[in-house]
Amino acid sequence: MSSKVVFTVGDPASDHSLILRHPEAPNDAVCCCCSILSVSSSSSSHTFKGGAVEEAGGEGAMGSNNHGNSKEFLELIKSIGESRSKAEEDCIVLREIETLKRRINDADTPKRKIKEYIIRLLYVEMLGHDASFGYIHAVKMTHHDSLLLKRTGYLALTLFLSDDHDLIILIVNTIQKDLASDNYLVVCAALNAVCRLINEETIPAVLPRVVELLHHSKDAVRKKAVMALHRFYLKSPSSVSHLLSNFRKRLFDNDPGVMGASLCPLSNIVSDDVNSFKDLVVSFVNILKQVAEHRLPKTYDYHQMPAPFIQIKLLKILALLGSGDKQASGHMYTVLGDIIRRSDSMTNIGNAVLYQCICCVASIYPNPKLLEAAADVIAKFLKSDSHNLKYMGIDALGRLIKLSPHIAEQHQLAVIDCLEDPDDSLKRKTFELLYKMTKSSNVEVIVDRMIDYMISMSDDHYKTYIASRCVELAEQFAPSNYWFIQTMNKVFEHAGDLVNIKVAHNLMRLIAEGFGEDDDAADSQLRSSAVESYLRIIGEPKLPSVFLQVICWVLGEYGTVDGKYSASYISGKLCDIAEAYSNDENVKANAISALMKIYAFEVAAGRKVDILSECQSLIEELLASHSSDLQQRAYELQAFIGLDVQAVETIMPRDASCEDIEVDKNLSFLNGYVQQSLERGAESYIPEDVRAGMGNMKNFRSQDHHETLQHGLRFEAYEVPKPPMQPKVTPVSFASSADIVPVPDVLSSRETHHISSVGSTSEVGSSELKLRLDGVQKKWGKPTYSSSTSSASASYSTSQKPTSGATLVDGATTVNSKVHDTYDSRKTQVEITPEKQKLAASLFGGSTKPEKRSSTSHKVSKSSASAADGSRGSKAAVVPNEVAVEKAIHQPPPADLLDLDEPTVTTAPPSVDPFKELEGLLDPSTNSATNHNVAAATNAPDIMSLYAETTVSGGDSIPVSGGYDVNLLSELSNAATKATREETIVKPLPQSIKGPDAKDSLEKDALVRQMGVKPSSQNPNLFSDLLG
Amino acid sequence: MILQFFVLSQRGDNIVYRDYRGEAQKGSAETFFRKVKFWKEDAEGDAPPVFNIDGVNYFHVKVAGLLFVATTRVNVSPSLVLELLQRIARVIKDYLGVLNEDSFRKNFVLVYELLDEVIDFGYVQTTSTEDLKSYVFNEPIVIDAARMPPLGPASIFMQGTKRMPGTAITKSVVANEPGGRKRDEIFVDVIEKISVTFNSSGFILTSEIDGTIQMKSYLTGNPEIRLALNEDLSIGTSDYRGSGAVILDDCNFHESVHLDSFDVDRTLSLVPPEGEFPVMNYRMTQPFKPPFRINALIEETGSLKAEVTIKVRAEFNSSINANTVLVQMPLPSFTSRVTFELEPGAVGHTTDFKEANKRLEWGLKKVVGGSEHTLRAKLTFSQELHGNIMKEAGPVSMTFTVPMYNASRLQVKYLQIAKKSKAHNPYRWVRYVTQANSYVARL
Repeated sequence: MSSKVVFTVGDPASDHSLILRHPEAPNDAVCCCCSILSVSSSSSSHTFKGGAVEEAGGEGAMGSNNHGNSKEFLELIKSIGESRSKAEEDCIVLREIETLKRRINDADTPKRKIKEYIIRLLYVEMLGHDASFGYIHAVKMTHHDSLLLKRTGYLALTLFLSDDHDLIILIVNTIQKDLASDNYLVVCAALNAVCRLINEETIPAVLPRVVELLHHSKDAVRKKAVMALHRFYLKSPSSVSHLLSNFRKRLFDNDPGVMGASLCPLSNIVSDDVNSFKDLVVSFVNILKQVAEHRLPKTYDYHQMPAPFIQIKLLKILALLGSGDKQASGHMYTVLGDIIRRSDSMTNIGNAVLYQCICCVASIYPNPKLLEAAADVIAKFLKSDSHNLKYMGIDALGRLIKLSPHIAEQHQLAVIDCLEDPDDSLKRKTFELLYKMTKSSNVEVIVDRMIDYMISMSDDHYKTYIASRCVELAEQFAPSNYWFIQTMNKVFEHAGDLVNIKVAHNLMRLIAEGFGEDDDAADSQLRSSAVESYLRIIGEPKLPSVFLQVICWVLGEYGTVDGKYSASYISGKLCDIAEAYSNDENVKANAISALMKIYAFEVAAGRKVDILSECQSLIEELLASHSSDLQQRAYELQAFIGLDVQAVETIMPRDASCEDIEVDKNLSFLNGYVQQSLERGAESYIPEDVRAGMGNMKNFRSQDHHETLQHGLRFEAYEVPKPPMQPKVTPVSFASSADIVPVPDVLSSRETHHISSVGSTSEVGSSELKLRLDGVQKKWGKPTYSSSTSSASASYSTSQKPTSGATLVDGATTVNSKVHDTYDSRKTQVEITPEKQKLAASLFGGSTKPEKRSSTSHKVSKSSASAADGSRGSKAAVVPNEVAVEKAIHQPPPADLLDLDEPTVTTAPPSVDPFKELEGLLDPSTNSATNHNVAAATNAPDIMSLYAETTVSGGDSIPVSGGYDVNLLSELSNAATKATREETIVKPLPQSIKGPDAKDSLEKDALVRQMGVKPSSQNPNLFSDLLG
Repeated sequence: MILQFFVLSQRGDNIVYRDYRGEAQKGSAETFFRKVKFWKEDAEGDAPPVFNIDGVNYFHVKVAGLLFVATTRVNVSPSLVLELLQRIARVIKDYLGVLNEDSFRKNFVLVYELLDEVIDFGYVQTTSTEDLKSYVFNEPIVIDAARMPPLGPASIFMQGTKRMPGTAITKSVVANEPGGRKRDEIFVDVIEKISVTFNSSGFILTSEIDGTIQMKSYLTGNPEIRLALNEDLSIGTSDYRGSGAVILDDCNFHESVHLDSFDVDRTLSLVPPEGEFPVMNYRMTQPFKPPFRINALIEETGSLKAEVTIKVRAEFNSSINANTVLVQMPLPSFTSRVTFELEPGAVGHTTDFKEANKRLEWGLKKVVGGSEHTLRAKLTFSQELHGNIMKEAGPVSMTFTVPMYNASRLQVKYLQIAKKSKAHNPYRWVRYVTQANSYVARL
């Protein structure tokens, strides 16, 4: 000891010579070197004291010395340990930071103290405070020659910095130098730091050194170098792509540790690029063979298994290399067989190696003998009492089953036992295996087990998974239709809410289309069994929504197909479903659609529809439902019942749920009509922009009206404002009323013909009616009487008259507008005179106002008539004659005019409501039945509108002056205009109107209007009484 | 494999923190401890060893009052990580001698070095104390685990009988003895934990022994050792060979154990690595004689009074003593006062009534084998008793430690160390300890 101290006090060369004295014991030499270095550092400032302590206590004394030097540090740790709160701890740490900050920057602080300060900074950083002011000092420490200080510096840096820190640049040079050191401990410390601190940018700086270290004499250094290269590969593969051969070379290192370390990067690289390493198969096989033959030192044994983890790693690599490669696999067969034979199945590690071997056998090109050996091992696993081994057996069986299906059959009983095991992991693994080994011969038992398991579990996620697996297997391997239906029913009954909606759709499609075998009898049988099973299942207390939807759909489509069940029975069942699940709108929607189908099929078959009372109440309930979808379906059903056989068959064909629906965007079915109209001189279709121009003209007329109002206002400024307004409105109304007196009769006649005619016949009828209208005026009386006679029942007549009234009102509006346009200027002159007369009348009392007004209105009417020019004399005479014929007494005519006045006043509301109704029906429909309804509905409104317009044009012919031919031409022109408008109106119908529903709605509106008119109709009577 | 490793004290202080990959946020330790601390609202339940917070998996084990924690993001085998944590704790204990917060704090630089060698970039490199000795050369700072008792006549006498105090096992494997001389020693401990349930008549309902043979080697040169167990030992068989047989249900061995001659004469051959390791773990559910029998009785003595009598009898040999015996019994929740009456001449007994959780405790410092002790307690209630009092009180639970006794009768017959020279004569110590794991007597 004394001599050592003397050496230390001397020059550093002594240390070197001391090392050289012990070449035969490198470890001991290095250990002594460390001790001497420590002594050197401690005695640099306390030479005498250190020496004295050394002589007294030896190594232990050195420990005490360290303890003494770190007294402040121990105090710090103690105080932190004793602090009772975070705030107190923070206070202590902050004080420590101040102390360290002051001392560590002192140039006179000795190296040993710096080391302690760095250690204290580690502690401070660990407690969550910032110690970055001291990082640079740790960097400096790595430059130091003392191993302890260097090691501490590296340790501190790996804790302080991450690989993207700015100070990394500063230590690259130090690392480079240390990697070239001849002290292997220094090299190891640097390699540890390399793995932690070197980033992508600085890899090139240290890469050559690390590559050189692959050939270092120390195996520990070589091992760490391999790991460092692996780290570089993970960080930046391109940086080391040209050095991959080094991993190959290290594979043949003398030291098993280095060889084992090289397996890790090789495993990564082989995964990335298998083909480039096929040539290593032989090498891997040789290594594996040597390991299996216990060529490695005994220290690598684990439970007497030679280097099991190296074996497992090699087996994984070989599995990658041998996959799909017969030649590469050929090299592996022998060694794999040896391992399977040698491995001890009594220990866990032995079983682990066996399992990995089976995985390898399953991955590489198949070999019959190896498969047999693997099967034997699997048999042992499955028969074991340990759950872990059973799990491995099931997993291995799943891998092998693709190569050799018969292996699984031998272990079916063992597999079934695993199914009944209380261990859930084992159960799930077993189901994976069963899924793979399913065939037509065993699908029934497997799916049954799966369903039972699915019922017992509460995990929704896995339940969904099992259900989809059951469905998939059933679709692929169903032995019979009956079994298939039963299986689907079970899956939906217990996991209906978890199954993908597509599964339900697929099931419905299967039932509709069969199994694609073109065997109608089999398909029919499938549907019958489905219907029967669903009728039985309906009795279950609680069923998933998706399942109920499927049931409703099937019962609707095929419930009455084979005649086994009556429409009443099926519809009753559907009503029960809708009632039991009244909270589920989807189920009710499906139920109502199913009812529609059943009734449609009954109508198409020519049988009378006998609606049950509960069905009727259900329909009525849904008509008032908050859900517009349910409401729409109910209205459709209601309208449907009233249609005839041919329409029903067209709209709802049997067994057509999977047929494609064709939509004619161009409305080609109207081309014939348009052609005929054009041939008869009608104008062609006017595009929208042109119609916009017409709108402008209307605006112009509106401005004229505005000027008139301003003029009127001036007069009102001087006179009483209300009285003058009244006469302006009344004369116009009366004039219009007088003109349209004969119109109702014509409308009634047209409608009668419309009801009795179909298709092209209606057009011919229309022509005849026109001819009749033009030719003989006396004929008008007969159609009226005919209409009255044809009214068979009161309700029928009632339903027709409101429609007629509505149309009449529309026609009146049009006529009113046109008359107003024609006589605008003349009316202005006339209105001045009545105002003056009104002024005179105002001088009289208020009680006489009504009488005066009525009298004035009558005079205005007569004035208008007398104002007509000579050419119209005959027409004017006709009008009075007609009036005379209808009413002999002078008094009744005023009453009649008043009666017609009220409907005219109500023109505005009806004209708005129909469009609102159309807007309400704008929602698009994806139902094929609705599309058919739309097609049917398109015709009815079309024909109705056509006749309405024609009637209006007939009305216009009366006031027109001039020759007979001129009248006819005008009529045709108007008809063409109306046709154009009618086309415009018809355009949106196919997209938005549900014919029967719209029709019913319009009828209801008409009824409401009719009811609204009655009270006002009594007013004329009141006036009559007053007049009388 | 793992992102971070850190060690926390009971109060959540960070003692050691190591981030191997920099892929997790820095506040993991705080997050983890907050979660563990308040896992249950009533703070009674322990957190599970493995749980997930925000995509980070936390694995932890508790060793000597310290929490050893590892974190991962990928799905690592839980068994592997938990085993790793246990082994890290064991390696550190081998280096430090004693594993507690104080020794950890004083040697945390050494611990960091060990962690650097054990794990590299999150991957495990080695957990062998022997291998680590060639990489880590720092000397640990040894702390005094326990002071030697003052010398007295009894102590002098005991030392003469070749007895070694229990603190001998707390030496560091790598530290040098004072005086610079290292002594070859090996310690073998047979530790058994007993679970027994008695019914109200004193019969055994369930009984089980979990045992382990621990070895701590301070030998130089790693010599081969032969360890012989009972010759009539049988494992896992349903055969009943006779009353003298030791029948184990299951056992497993350390990887360094050779079982070549185990089937022949129940001998284990092994080359023990330095440091502490479990040679053999075993389990036994065959009926065995329990070390203590408990009789407990509770009866009403008035409308607001009752009396409890607890009798404990030591069934083992009189040459063996039990230490730190504690008998606990829950009392009715409406008990307001308890007075105790000990037997005459009782020495070293303590009695207490825990008001907070209505429980009586009876501590016996030392129980000599073959002796019997009785406790009588008079209870005073705050309200009248309705129904059976026996359903309101009990059961009686007991904790104890019995050195040099094992209930299974598994014995280390001999421990043979291969000699290198005549002068080389290492010390061999064998110790038996029986502890109570769950020892319950129903009323």
